[in-house]
Amino acid sequence: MTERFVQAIVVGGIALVAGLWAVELGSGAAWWGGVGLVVMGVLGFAWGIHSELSV
Amino acid sequence: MLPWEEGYWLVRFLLQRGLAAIYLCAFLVAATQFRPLAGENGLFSLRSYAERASVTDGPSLFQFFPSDRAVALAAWAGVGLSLVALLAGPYFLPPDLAVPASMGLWFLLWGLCQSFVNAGGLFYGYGWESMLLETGFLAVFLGAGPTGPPVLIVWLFSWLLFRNMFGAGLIKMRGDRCWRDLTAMDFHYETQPMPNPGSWFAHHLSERFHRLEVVGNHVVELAVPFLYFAPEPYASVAGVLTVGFQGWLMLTGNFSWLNALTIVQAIAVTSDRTLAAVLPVSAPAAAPAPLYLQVLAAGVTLLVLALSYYPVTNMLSPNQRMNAGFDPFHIVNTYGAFGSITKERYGLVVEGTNQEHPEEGDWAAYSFKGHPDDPSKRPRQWAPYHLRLDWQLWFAAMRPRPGRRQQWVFTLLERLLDGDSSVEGLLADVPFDDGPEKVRVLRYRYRFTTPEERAESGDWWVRERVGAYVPATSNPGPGPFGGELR
Repeated sequence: MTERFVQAIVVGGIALVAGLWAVELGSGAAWWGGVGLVVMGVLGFAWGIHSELSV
Repeated sequence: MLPWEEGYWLVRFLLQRGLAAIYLCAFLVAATQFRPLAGENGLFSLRSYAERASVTDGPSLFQFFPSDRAVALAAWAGVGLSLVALLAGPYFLPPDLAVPASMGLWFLLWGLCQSFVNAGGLFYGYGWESMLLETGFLAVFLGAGPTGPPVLIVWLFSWLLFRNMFGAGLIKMRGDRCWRDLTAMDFHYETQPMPNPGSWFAHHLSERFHRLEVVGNHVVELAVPFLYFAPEPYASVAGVLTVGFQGWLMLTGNFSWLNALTIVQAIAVTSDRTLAAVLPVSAPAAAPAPLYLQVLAAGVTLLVLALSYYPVTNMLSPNQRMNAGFDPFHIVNTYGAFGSITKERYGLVVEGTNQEHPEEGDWAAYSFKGHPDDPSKRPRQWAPYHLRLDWQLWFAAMRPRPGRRQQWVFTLLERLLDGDSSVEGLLADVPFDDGPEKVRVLRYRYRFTTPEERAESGDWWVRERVGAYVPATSNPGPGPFGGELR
């Protein structure tokens, strides 16, 4: 079973890339959806990496 | 702009030149080191390899021609073909011939490289060997001449770069605790396999900088790789971050052609439009790749996607393997680096004497090219050239005595006693004209000098003897495990 931090990073990465493409190609709701995915992606990375650190 | 509307002619041209330069380096290494390491009378015997090898071990010309002459021929042929590739030979041919000539050239380079990697045993057991083969396999289908490359193949380079970087990021997070408590770089520069002139200085950077380096490492290896698949300019920004990260590693350590090869792969995440915007070059308007190349590219894409199953499963597994191949041709592999960081540095010093009953002062040390031995010797820059013996000495020194995988140490000692000039050629300095009467291997603990110690003594290292790795002997024999283990 893949660890939670890996799940967060992979889902975050896919969301980020999908979001950037939506922002690049979309308009209106698709554009705003893209921005939302980008934010979700960055949060996924941040949580995934931070959750493993022990400082 | 959609990715298939981007141009990649210039991307391909740069990527091919970079890869050709790395092939050139790899074949020069083979020409100068393969025979003493794994040739007819090498530390590993080529003939015993040929007797034992099967097709499932990976193809090699040397299964059928196990001779030093064949090794030299293959290595120098590789050097020559790499030069043709570096000088963009196929681009000078008529348009109809450029693509088939390019495919033939890159296929030959790939096949010759396979022969060395599969026959080289332990001395070719590094992740960057299979990475070079995977990169070289994709290059066969890039094409050449006035037509552009198949876009699918360019994307497969991005997929390779992603596995290279993301795999390295995951293995660190899962591996050594020092990557999670951000102390890894307190040790890395000092204990890495082969420090370079920048390592001492990087080691003495502030603690805060070392913490930030580890955070930066996690971001560049775990988050940035996803951006390789994002639209421009994000993909190119990710490529630049990757190149910068690899550049820092090149400034502070000798990692063979690993970093240079990663930089070459990173060229694929950009596009002609971006390159033309930042470089003083203009990309030609290329026609689409010929139909037969596009069909081949589609087939290769399906093959790579199918073969990616095991590497992806491995990456997502908590029991991730660091560097591994899953097919005998090394077409799709899994990668990683420094899953664990050694906290103390050990080094081996090989010594010889002509005295039958030597006193301590009667021993003279052999000097290695890259493996630290003499504390006053400044670590040298070798990468992208690869000192295969010196790298194995780093692994060997981790144990207090030679284990099963270090039986080659006893063969090395035998060759030094014989005064074998071919093996001696792998070393920087040999203190005996015709071989000594006795040899021994001492094991030391090394650390970098502090700035104060270096100002006083001029030394780069402080070392402390911790024991005899191989006690004094005039007849090392095959070792306690009975000989060769490739």
